[in-house]
Amino acid sequence: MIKKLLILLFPVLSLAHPHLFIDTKLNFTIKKNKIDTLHVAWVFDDMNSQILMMDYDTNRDKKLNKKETQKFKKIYFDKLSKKKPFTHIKVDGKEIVLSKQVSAFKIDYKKNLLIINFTVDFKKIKQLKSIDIGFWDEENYTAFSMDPEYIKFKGKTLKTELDFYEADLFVADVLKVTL
Amino acid sequence: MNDFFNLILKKFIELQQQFNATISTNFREIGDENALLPILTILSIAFIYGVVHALGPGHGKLLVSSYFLRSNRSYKEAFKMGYLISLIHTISALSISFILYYLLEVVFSQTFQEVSFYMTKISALLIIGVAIYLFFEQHKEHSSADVTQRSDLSIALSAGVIPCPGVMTIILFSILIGNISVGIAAAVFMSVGMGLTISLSAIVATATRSQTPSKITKVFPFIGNSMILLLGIYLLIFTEKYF
Repeated sequence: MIKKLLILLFPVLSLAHPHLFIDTKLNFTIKKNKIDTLHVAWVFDDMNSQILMMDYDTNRDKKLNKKETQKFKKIYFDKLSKKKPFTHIKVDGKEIVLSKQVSAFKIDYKKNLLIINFTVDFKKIKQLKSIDIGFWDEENYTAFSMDPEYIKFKGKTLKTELDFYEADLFVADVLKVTL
Repeated sequence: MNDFFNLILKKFIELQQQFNATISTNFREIGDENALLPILTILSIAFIYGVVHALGPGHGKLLVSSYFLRSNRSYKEAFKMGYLISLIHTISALSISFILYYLLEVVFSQTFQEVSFYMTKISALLIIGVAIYLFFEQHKEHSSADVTQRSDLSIALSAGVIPCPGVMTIILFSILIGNISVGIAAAVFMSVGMGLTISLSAIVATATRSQTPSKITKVFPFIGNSMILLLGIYLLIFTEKYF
């Protein structure tokens, strides 16, 4: 309540500007006219890739082994997803809790860029009309971009449409996939 | 209208992403022979990045404009304030980055966020302190030069002390890629750019005040002080840890 009041008083209070930039790549697999899985790749910007590699590639072999990946996942992915999830998915207008569906977490380091890969499993989720997918950080420290060029389908190409998620003072892309 | 605004916000983020990418690409092109063109590109983009970066919403400009709305100040003083803040902002980011990198063995990105969190709380306390001080001084006819100088410095310190993650990112990247001198130069150019934008907000506040009839400006000190106080309270209560 107080926070809302203060935000009303100071509409310029969104403190952070984006400092970390992630390009997203989406690969849908369609089976029987439904989304089976979605493979997500987050490609970090060069500067932040180097800083994160410095932090987590402790043996300096320019890749993250199992132990290093686990540490990264624990601090960077799990902790953040619990506190302020970056991945937002709605199935037929209803938000789904992601932790149960995410698997195959893998980190690559290619051409100086850190890439987080994970798969969202839709098999057990009832889908009727549409699925909305967006990535954003409520604090606007991390900015995600979604380029239609990097949205791919396997099995069948579904109709897509890009829209905005409007936060207080930033916008993020939301992809609507119609079944 | 709404879509138009959304597009501008989106472009604003994309622009910063492009600046970020141009800076890193050019860092990689400097090479051992210290090629001049990439260095000049980095410095000029860093300056523009600073201007654009500070254009976004932020508490620094709100603080400065509230402060300059309060009393009659010269444009020169308003201009100086922006630069004092960005100087402190940069020094803060530089020293914290160096300390974390060279002296402490920590997970840098996480610790930097943690340090920023505590610095924000310190900044909030400072801002509240300044607001209370200004309320006390407000009823006096003319503040002495001492009082003005003291409150100017406290305002600059409280706005600047939160380290700039943008400066930190460039500095650390330059260390990792082995070109720290260009990194520091880029940080300086970026802060000159940010200073320009912050100065502008102080100048706009000063101009607004000088254009407003004196009947109305009478309440400006009260409004300015209250805004500063509320901003401090907001930062103190609602700043959360990132990790």
